[in-house]
Amino acid sequence: MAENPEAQAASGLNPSALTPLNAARLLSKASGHSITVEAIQVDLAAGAPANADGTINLVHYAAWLVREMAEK
Amino acid sequence: MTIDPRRLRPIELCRLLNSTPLGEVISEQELRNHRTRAGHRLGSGRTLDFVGYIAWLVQLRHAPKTGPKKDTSPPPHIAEAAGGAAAVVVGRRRKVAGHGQKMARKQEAVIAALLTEPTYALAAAKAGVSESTVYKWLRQPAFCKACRAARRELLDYAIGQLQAATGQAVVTLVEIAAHGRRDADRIRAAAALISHALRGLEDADLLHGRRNGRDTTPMGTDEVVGILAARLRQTEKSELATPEKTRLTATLADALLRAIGVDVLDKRLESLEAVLGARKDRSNEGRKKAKKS
Repeated sequence: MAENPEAQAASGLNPSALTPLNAARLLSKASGHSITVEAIQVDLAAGAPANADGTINLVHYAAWLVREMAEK
Repeated sequence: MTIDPRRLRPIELCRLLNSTPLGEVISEQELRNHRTRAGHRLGSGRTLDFVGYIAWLVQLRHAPKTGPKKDTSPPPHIAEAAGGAAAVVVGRRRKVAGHGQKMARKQEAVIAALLTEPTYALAAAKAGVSESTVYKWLRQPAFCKACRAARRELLDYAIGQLQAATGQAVVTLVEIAAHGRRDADRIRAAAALISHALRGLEDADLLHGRRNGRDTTPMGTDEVVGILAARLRQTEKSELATPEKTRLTATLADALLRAIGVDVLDKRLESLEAVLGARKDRSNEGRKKAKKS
């Protein structure tokens, strides 16, 4: 499911298991600003928490972003 | 009771963020600071938009780096010139031996640093003295005088650099006037050349002590040029039809070019004439085509 965004969209979005693509779409739509999937993938490569199947838990991701921001 | 992630109270958001395996990552105060920075994007009133908050964090993290880390140090040649200016000024005063010489060297370093650094603190750090020493020296009239003199030396250097760059600027303008990619570029460059040439004539008159006012003697070249240039500007601003305006502009520009009798401008004027000639040719061709059709 995680590898197939269409399937995820059809079944409704789960904020604890979003593919990077769906996360980017959701964040862009919610904020009205463009959030790219590349930006999220860069964060994942930099150590952002991800589930075993490569999906993102939005709460964990947000906590990681806050911690990174505080460390800068 | 269900929680709406788009309408969370700050305390709820804090608890949510601090409930992950990462442990405590944010306090209410920090969240308040974030809210102030992000403004209305994090929601309004007493609640926060969690998704909007994440989006803001991602944007902030990936925003291009700007601002405070910018290198504000002066270019090496300016720093070198500042050092030179300070050395010249302090060298004039350096007569004493021993401790006095060491003092003079320190003061020289401080003056050079004051010329290039934005704050006294940075200047003091760069020169290797304390900030209070800088303030103490700045209260001494002789030191202040030396600073001012060094500043003047540096200004002279800067003016020299500007003058040296002027030649290159003129070459660039002439190049654009002759071979610019678009008509508009060539015309702007030509107009700038004419305008600067006129200003140069006025300045030369002032330098040679000639009067700029009207008198009963016959008009000089510069006056004729001035009048023609004014007419040229008038024509450009007028609401005439474009072909008519082009014709008048070209005629006036030709007259203007003939009127300027300054030897050093000959080459530049040739380029200008070439541009204007080309423009005339184009407009003539356009007219012929229009007649044929």
